[in-house]
Amino acid sequence: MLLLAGWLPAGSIVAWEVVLFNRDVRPILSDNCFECHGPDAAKRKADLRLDTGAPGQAIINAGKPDKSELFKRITHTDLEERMPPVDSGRVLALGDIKILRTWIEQGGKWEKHWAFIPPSRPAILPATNSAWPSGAIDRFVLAKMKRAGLQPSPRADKETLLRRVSFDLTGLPPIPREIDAFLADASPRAFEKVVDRLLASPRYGERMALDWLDAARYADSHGYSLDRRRVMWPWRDWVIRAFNDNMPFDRFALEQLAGDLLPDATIAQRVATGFNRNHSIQSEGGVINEEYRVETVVDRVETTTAVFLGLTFGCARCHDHKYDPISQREFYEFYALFNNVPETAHVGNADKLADKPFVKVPSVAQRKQMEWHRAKIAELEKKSEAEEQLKTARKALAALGQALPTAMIMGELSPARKTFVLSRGQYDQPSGVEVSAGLPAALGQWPAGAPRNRLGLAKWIVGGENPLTARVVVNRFWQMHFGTGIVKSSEDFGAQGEWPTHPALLDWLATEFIRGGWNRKAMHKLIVMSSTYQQVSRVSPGLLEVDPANRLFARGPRFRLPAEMIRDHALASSGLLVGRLGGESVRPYQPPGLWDDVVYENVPRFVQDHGGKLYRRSMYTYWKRSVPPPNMQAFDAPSREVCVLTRAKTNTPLAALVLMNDPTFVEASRKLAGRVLRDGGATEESRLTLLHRLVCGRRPTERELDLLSGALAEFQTSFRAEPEAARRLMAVGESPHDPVLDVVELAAYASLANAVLGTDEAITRN
Amino acid sequence: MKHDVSSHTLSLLNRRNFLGQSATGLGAIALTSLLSKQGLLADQPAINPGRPHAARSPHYPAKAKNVLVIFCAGACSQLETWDYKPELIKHDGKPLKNGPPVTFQGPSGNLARPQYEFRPYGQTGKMCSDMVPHLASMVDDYAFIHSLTSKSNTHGPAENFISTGFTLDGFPSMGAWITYALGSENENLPAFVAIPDPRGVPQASVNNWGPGFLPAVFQGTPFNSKQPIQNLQPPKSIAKKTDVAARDLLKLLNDQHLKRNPKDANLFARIASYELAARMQLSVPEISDLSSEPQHILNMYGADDSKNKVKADYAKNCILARRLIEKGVRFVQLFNGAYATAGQLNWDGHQKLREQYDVHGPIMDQPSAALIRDLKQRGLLKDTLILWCTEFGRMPMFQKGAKGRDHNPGGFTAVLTGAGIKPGVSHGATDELGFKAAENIHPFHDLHATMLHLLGLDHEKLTFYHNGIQRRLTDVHGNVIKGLLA
Repeated sequence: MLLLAGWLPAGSIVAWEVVLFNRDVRPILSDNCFECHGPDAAKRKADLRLDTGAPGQAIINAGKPDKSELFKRITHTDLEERMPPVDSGRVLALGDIKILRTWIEQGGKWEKHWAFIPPSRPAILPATNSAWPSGAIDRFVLAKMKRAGLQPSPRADKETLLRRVSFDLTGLPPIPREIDAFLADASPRAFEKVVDRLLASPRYGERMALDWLDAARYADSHGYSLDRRRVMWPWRDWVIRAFNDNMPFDRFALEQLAGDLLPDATIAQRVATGFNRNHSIQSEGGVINEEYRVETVVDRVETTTAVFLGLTFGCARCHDHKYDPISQREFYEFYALFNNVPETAHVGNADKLADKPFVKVPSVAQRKQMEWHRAKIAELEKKSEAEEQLKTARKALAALGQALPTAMIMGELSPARKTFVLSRGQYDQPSGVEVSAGLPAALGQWPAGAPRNRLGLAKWIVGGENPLTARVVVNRFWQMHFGTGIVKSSEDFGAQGEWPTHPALLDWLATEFIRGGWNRKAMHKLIVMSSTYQQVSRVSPGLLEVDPANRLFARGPRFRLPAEMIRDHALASSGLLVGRLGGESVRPYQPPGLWDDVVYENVPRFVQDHGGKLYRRSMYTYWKRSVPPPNMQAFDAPSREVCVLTRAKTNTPLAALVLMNDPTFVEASRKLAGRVLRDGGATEESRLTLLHRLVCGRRPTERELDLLSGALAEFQTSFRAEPEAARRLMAVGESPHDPVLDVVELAAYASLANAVLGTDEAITRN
Repeated sequence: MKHDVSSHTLSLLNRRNFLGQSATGLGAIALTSLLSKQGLLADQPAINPGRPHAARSPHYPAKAKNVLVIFCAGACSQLETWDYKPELIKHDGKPLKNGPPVTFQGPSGNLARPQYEFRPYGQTGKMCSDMVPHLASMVDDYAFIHSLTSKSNTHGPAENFISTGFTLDGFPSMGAWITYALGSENENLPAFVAIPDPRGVPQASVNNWGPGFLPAVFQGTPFNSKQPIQNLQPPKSIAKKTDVAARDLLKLLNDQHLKRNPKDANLFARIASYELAARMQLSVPEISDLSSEPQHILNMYGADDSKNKVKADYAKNCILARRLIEKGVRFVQLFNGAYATAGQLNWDGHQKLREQYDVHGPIMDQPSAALIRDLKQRGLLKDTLILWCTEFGRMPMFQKGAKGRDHNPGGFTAVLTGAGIKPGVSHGATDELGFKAAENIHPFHDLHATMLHLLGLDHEKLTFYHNGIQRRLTDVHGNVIKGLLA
């Protein structure tokens, strides 16, 4: 056994007992050698390849590092001979050299990159801790924890757990009634009942769709400089519905990648393909269309491969991939699958909501209305004297047709557009090499009998042969619940990605996902029912030292809520939230003049909505790519210009200013005050308790009650002295305040609520 | 409510010291969660999440500490400003031999002489146009580069290219890269301020100062002398006193939360961001308030020009820029010109170039020149790099049937002065008609590399891991332009 801990690269937590090629050796070779001795044929030096074994094996003398050319070269005393070359700027660390030495001593064998080997189902480890029992997940996690000398943390208290799981599965906080019910339920199934309730809630689909919209770069505008509006929300609603119906993931993927190519494709199946039409589209005059059409196709390749395969194909656009086995030619073979859309790639200066191809998407009510009109027209057509009526009816039908929302979809040109390898990835430099649709050889074979188009691709992606998709998807489930994936680089499972912290657990989850019929609700339930998930998130100094980033999951996950949940939380706890599911995007309050800066001539300015539309869940807020809602952007919401699989979580003063001063948050504060005064009982203590429960999901401690009470007295004094200020505060936002309640009292509680809504605890899921 | 403010302040200060500890402290630990795969390379900035804008060391000793970019949106013609072409006067009215029959907007017309007279300025005798007499009066301090090229001939993508190094949307702006690398010298103000023109923002709008895939904390904060920072103050002036009390309460409640969850670096970081927000509520209105500026300064900038309102407003933005640089703000991007409206609001002179530039020239020239002079007088140029630039050049021909020039990404000029810049040089050249860069050709990537170099940053080492790639401001290009360096 080796003791390597002292010189392992930063971030490694456990001393590895044996050197594994993929875990320990490949990252060293990838970082230091692949650029000149890797997959890129054009840059390859000395005809030596170190990313695969066959050629590399020649410079290894198994068991004898000192007689191996590889080891001699990396330790050579003559700098002219030493690898990596001095002018590369790369230097092998002593620890890296030791790992390479040990690897050669142990046989010096190459392995295929781990993520390209299909997952096999590992045996579940026996339970070793009767006090921390549960299922497969916990056993894998516990085994690793024990090797690091760690113990699991205790279970979080019920209030914390309920708030955690409510946000994770529905994106909303629990209401006091739900908290009371859970606290009162002493049955062993109490938590499972909660989980089942949340999974069955329509809010589940909205919450799950959030991450998918980032991945699919969904927006309500075309992007680029004119950035006019578009209508793609029928696609967004398709996604929400698919989650709520628990559509199996294989179907979910298939319909989005190739729904239009299914036999007798329904409107919904065609709408699903909007996944690959959510990209930006140019409208600026004078741009070269082909340039942006090529960018669009590249974007489809990058998005599809990142989301479904966890690979960064984009690197192979200009040259063979430097780290992964994807040649430039193979990039364009994959590109050919997405290069055949009968699109213009330019929506022009007019208010054009969609570029072709698109479908009109009637709602149920609209469809019924149209049927009714059609029937009436048919009836009138039989009567000769009804000319005028007929005209009116036809007009009404036409008007209905005009008003239908559109959705851009995928389609196929016939005959197919030819695809060439583009030199250096430039749209105007097609090489002479024509390619046809295909898969990179390292990933697998095109499924027998499947058509050479997107449908065939989709079948391969969710078929049994593909080593990546199930792992990539379950890893993102894990990331959703723990903040970090088992593979931290959730967008890159390639050679430059990170080695999984728990490879066996990842493979077990992946195989379990497929075995259960790609059932996503079942996977979420499996994860949140684990003891691993339910641990308290508090960290002891000792644990912090051993595992600062919680990669061993010896404590519960804690992180700041995503942007949308922060606003939704304020709306929900104040009672403002309007729960309508889906539909046209809405325009709540924005800072004055927000769009003025980016609207040109005849592009419409921002017109704020009123009434219920001000209080819809944040995912329905109109998303203009060039000006994402600032109160979302301040909390790291992406602009949706490109696929995003991991959001940053940073702290900016602009975020603090949003919580303090954004009209939505100020209005929520005063509505929350009204709610507390109305429903919080007669005493100050009962009111403050309700406020705290609504915002933080738990009763305040005595110390907190003291702080709240002290601040309340201060607010009451100042507003009593200046009732005008109280009235001004009550005028923020369009919802009326309860005239029965005293304005000074309301304002004092509103200031209190504003502070509580802005606390760390309010915006953190502990 | 009873609490001892002074002890509270003390605890905050202690906390800040704690966070400010070296790479072994909590800050370094939280870096892993803040910046996912960052930190693997030794040259990555070590960002303390509690103080993301704290000043950080560059890769090697820097010549410049701050950057001021004066960006002329709409493509300000090189031929009417800095690139003197006597041959073009000779060939006025003749067709360009082997020239393109059609350019960006339509068919080409004949060659057209510069629309302003040129005359020599300073000791160097550099020929400059009559459109920019104020700027030209300091010509001996400048380094010109006449041989820049762009990757796009379209305003939006080309502005992206200048500001982010990529023509597509979604990449970090140069100001975001630089604040990511270096933080700021002033933690009471945003590290990166974008000052939009009083007439509006340029074509690529917020992309010019967006964070791209860098953490949101490094985005530019836009405001100018007319438009304040969003949400800086409550929506309706409520009451200062309750505001302060609310913030106190917030701090105390957060302390309770921190007590229950000790040692969570992210919680520290959030508390720190609240404190910065509170400080900004005081510092930003103060810095935006120009009433303390003496009359002769207003005069020098043209901020009191009652006959030219736009000029006066742009001049106020210039004064604001100086005040920000003075306070140690790392990166200030000052815009002259708004979005493209056929040259009405910016430099996009397609139709009647002379007429349009007669409007835009006086707005830009005197205030910009005063800004440079003022910075110099105050000794700030020794630490500040100034870059005057635009997204591409214009054609030596007029457009057919018009008296204006079409887009020309093949050759254009930028002007640099200040820290680390060799004064009085003209580097590179276009051909004799000013059509294409011909000598020492430099894609704008090279200027990015040069800017980073002057800040002590190796453009190949300043990277951020995103979707599988270590991204750079210079993509896979960039060479430092030695000819511009002092």
